[in-house]
Amino acid sequence: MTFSRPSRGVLTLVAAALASLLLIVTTAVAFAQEGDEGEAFFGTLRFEGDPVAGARIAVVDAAGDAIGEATTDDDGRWRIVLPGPGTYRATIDTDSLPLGVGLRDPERRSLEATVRAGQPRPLVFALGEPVAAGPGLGEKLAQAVLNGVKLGLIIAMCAIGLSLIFGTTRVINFAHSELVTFGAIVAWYLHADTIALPLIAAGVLAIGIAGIAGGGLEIGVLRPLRRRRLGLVQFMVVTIGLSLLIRHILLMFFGPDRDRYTDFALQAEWSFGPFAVTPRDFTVMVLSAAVLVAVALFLQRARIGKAMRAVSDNPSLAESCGIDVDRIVLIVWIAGAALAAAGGIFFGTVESVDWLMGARLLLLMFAAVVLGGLGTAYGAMAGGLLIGLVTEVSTIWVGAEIKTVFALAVLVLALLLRPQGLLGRRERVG
Amino acid sequence: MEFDVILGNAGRAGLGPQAAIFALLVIGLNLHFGYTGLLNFGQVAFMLVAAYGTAITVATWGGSLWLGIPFGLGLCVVLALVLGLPTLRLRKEYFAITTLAAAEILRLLVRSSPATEITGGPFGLQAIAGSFYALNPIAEGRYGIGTFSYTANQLWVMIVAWVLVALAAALVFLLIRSPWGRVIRAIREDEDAAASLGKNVVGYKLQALAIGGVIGGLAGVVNALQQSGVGSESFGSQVTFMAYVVLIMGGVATTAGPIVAAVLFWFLREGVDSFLRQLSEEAWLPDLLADFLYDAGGAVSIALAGIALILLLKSRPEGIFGKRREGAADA
Amino acid sequence: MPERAPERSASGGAALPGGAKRDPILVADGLRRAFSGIRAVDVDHLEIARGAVTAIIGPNGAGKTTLFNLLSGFDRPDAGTWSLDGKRLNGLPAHRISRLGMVRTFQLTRVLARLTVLENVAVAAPGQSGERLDRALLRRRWRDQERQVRARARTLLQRFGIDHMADQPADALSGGQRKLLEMARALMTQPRLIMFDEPTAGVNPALTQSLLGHVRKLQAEGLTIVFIEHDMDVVMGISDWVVVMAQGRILAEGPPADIVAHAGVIEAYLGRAHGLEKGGATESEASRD
Repeated sequence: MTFSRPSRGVLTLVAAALASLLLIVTTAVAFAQEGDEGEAFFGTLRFEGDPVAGARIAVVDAAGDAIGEATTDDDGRWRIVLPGPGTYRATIDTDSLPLGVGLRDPERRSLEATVRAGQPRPLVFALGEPVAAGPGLGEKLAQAVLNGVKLGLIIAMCAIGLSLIFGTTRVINFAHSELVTFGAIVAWYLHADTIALPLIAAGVLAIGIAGIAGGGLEIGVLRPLRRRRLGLVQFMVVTIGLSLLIRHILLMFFGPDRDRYTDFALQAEWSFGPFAVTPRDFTVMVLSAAVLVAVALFLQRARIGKAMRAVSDNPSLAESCGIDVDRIVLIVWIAGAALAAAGGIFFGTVESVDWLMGARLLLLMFAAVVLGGLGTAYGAMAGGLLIGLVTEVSTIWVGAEIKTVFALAVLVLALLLRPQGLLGRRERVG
Repeated sequence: MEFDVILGNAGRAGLGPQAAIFALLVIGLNLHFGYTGLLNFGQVAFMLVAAYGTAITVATWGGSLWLGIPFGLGLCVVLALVLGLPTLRLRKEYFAITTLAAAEILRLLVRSSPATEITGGPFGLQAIAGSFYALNPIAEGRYGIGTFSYTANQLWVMIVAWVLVALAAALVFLLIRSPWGRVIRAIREDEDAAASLGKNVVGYKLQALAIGGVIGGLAGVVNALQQSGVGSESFGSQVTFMAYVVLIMGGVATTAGPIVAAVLFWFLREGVDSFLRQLSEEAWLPDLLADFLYDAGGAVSIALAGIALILLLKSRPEGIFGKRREGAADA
Repeated sequence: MPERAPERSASGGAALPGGAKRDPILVADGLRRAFSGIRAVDVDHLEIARGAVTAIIGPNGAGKTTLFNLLSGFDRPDAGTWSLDGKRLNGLPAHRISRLGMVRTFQLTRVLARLTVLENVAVAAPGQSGERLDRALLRRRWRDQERQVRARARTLLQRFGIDHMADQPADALSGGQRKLLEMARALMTQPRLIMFDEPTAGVNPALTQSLLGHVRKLQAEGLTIVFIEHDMDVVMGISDWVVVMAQGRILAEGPPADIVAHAGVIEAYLGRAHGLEKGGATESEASRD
C-alpha cells in the first residue's frame, strides 16, 4: 500500500519506482525461468519507465576486493556473476547516469546484500530526479504537517459517514471505501472522459450521484436485511460482499491504471514561509475544512442532525421518543456516501484516481473512527486529522512505503491506552 | 464452448491445494468467530507469520524445512499472545479493527525494503520446499482426465493438505464437544455471564485465538510448500474477507461447513472464470463485450461472488449447513 | 441452621450507615467510583452479615448496580478495599472473585442463548478438569466428572422446575424461566454469597413468590444473599436487613421494619420515596446492548 505524496514530481518518482519494481520482479521471474542458476546480482535500471543504458555498477566482496563490473544494456538490464554465496556490496556509479537522472535516495547508492547458493539476487537502484541538498528538518516538518493536514481532512470527511453508519446501525461498513472510489471515478467519467464537464461541476454531480447510490444501498440491501434481524457479523460480511462487488465493477470499467483529473493538473506552488502548496491543494484543504465545519454545525443545530446524534446515542430510546429511525439511517447513508464521494474527489484531485484508492484509505478511515471513538462524528474528524498527521510526519524518518504502518501502530497504541476512543464514553456492565 | 474444460478447471480448483488452504484458514476462523465469538479480521496474519517463519528459516537462515514449519507455527502462538493479551478485553469491534490493522502492518513490514535482507522484501523468498517434495512418493507424471489433472507434486501437496484439513476439523470437533468447548461457547454467548461463573474469559479467548491461529498458520505453511516460496501479495486483507465469505457460506459453528464451502467456493470461482474466458473467445460475441470479458474476467467473477454472497445471506443467513439458531450468530 | 438475623447495629439506631455486624462475610471500606467526574459510588463502610438476606434499595441512579459491579470485580473502584471472609478482593478479576464463592446475577437476564438449558447450568460447575485445554482432548480424564456435573445440573433444574426444558436452547425459555435458570446456574458454582441484581424485575406476581421461596430456601441452606430490589413489598417480605443508597452513598441501614419507620428520614433525603417503588428504565439505559 503506497501513498504517493501530492507534488507532481514526487508522484512521478513513486510511479516510476513502482514501475521499475514491477519490471524487476518480472525480469527476476524471467531469469529464474531461464533456469539461469548460480550466484549473481542483477537488476534493471529505469527512469520514469524508460530503461537507462550505459550505467556502470561495480561489486566488491565483504573484504572490499573487486568482484566484477557491469554496464546496463539497452533494456537497462545488468548482471554480475558472483564467485559463490556470501555477502557483497554493489555500487552504482552515479557519474555514469544520464544528465538529470539520479538516485531517489542518494544514500542508497551502495547496496549490501547476501546471496545464497544457487540463487541470483535482484537489486534495486531506485532512480529519480536528483534531489538537491535536502531541506532542513524544520522545512521538512512544515511540509509534512501541511501534507498531514491535507490527508487528515480528507480522511476525516470520508470517515464521518463510516462513523455515523456505525453509530446508528452498529454496522461496520466495509463498502465505505468503495463509496470513496465510486465518487472519484464517477467524477472522472463526467470530467475527463467524453462528457468533459469542468471538474467542479463534475464533482458536484458525482457527489449527488454517490448520495443517491448510498441511499439506494440502504433501501435496496441493508434495510431489508435489518428487517430480517440479521446478525451484525452477517451485516459486516454483506458489506464486504458489497465492497468486492462495487470495487470489481469499478475495475471492469475503469481498468487497473491510475488516471488524473485534467483540470488543475499543473500548478506552480505558492510559498508561505516554510510551507509550499499549490493553489489546488490549498483550495481542497479550505473546502474540506469548510465541509467539516458545516457537518459539525448541522449535527449541532439542525433538527435532523440532533436526531442523528440521538439515534447514535441510543437507537431504542430515540425510537421511543418518536424519531423515525429508518429515515435517519437513510439520511445518514445518503450524507455519508456523499461525504465519502467528496473525499474521494478531493483525494483524486490532489493525487490520482484508481480503482483501489478507497481501499487504500479504508484502514486509515477505520483508524480515524476508532481513535475518535466509534460512532461519533466529531471523533472521526479529530481522529482523521491525527491519523493524517502521523502518517505524513512519519515520512520524515521512515520510508513512505511504511508510513501507513505508523498510522496503524498509533491506532493500536491508542486502543491500548484509551479503549473507548479519544471522545468516546466508557460503557457500563450490568 | 468446451464444457468439459470448464468443468475440469473448476473441479481441479475445487479439490486443489488452494481449496485446502482456504479450508484450513476457515476452520481456524470458525474456532475464533463461530465458537468463541472473536471477530478476528486478521486471520491472514497467522497465515503470513507461519509462511514467512517457515520460509525465513529455510531460505534466509539456511535451516531445515522441518525446523522451519514448527518455528512458523510457534510464531502463530506468539502472534496470538501479542495480539490477544492487550486487545481481547476491548469491545468486539475494536478487536476486529485491531486485528485487521495488525495484519496490514505485518504485510507492509515484510515487504518493506528495510526488511529485504530477511524477508526478501517485495520479491519474497523462493526455493524453500525442496525437502518436502523430496519425500513425494508419487511417481512423476500427470494424473487425471483432461484439464482435471494434477502433476505428481501437486498431488503430493494436495494429499498432505487435505489430511491436515481432516486433522484440524477433527481437533476442533473434539475440542468443542469437551467441557473446554462448552466454556468457549458460553463466552461467545455472553462473556460477562461466563466471567460471573468463574471462567477466565481472557485466558480462554487467548487459547482459542492461538489454536485457531495455528490452524490458520497451517494454511500458510501449505501455501508456502505449494508455491515453494512466499510473497507478501498472497497475504492481503481480502484473504481474510474471503475466508469470512466461505465461513458464512458454509455455516458458522459447523464442522463440515468450512470444508464443503471452501471446495464449493473454489469450484465456482474457477468455473465462472473459466466460463468467462471461454465466452470471450466465442465468435458470435460482439468484439467490445469479448474484449471486456477478456480484460475484466477475473473482476467479473469476484463481483459475481459478491452478488452470490449477498443473495445467499438474504435467503439463508445461517449458511448452507448452519442450523438457523446457531447460524444467526450475532457476535 | 445458621443464625437467622444479624445483630442490630451497635448504636441501636437502625438508620445509621456503616454499622458493624457480629459476623460479617463481606466488608467494604472507602469504596469510591466516579464516571467522568460524577460520583457513582461513595461507600465509607459496609458490612454484610453472614447467612442473612440483605436488600439494597434506593432510587434510580443511586449506585446500586455500580456497587455490585465493584464488589463482583466487573468494574474497578477509584479507591477503597473490600474482602470476603477476610480475603482481600482488590484488583481481582471477576472470575477469581466468583471462584472465591461470591457469584452475581445481572439486572437483565443473561442466559447463554444458544447453549442448552442443561449446558447453561453444567458450564457453571467449578473445578472441571475437562475445561483445561491440556485435558480437553483426553475424554477419559473428564468423563466421570462430567457425568456428575450433569447429574448435579439436572437436580438443580428439577429444584427450579425447569428440568423439562433441559435439552432446549436457553433462548426458548420465557422471561421467568430465565430468572430461574440464572439462579440455578449461580447455585451451580457452589457459592457462599449470591448477589441478585433485581431478581423480580419484570416478573409476574406468582413467579415472584416462587423466586422468593427459592431465596428463603437458599438462606436456610446457609447461603448469604444480597439483592437489589425496587419492590418494597418484596423487601419487607424477605430481607433481614436493608441498606438504603442514594447518590452513591449509604444513607441508612437496619432491619426492614426500622427502615420503614425511618421513612420520614429517608424522604427528607430523597424527596418523595417514589424511586423506591418503581423499577425504572433510566438505570438500564447506560447498559444498552
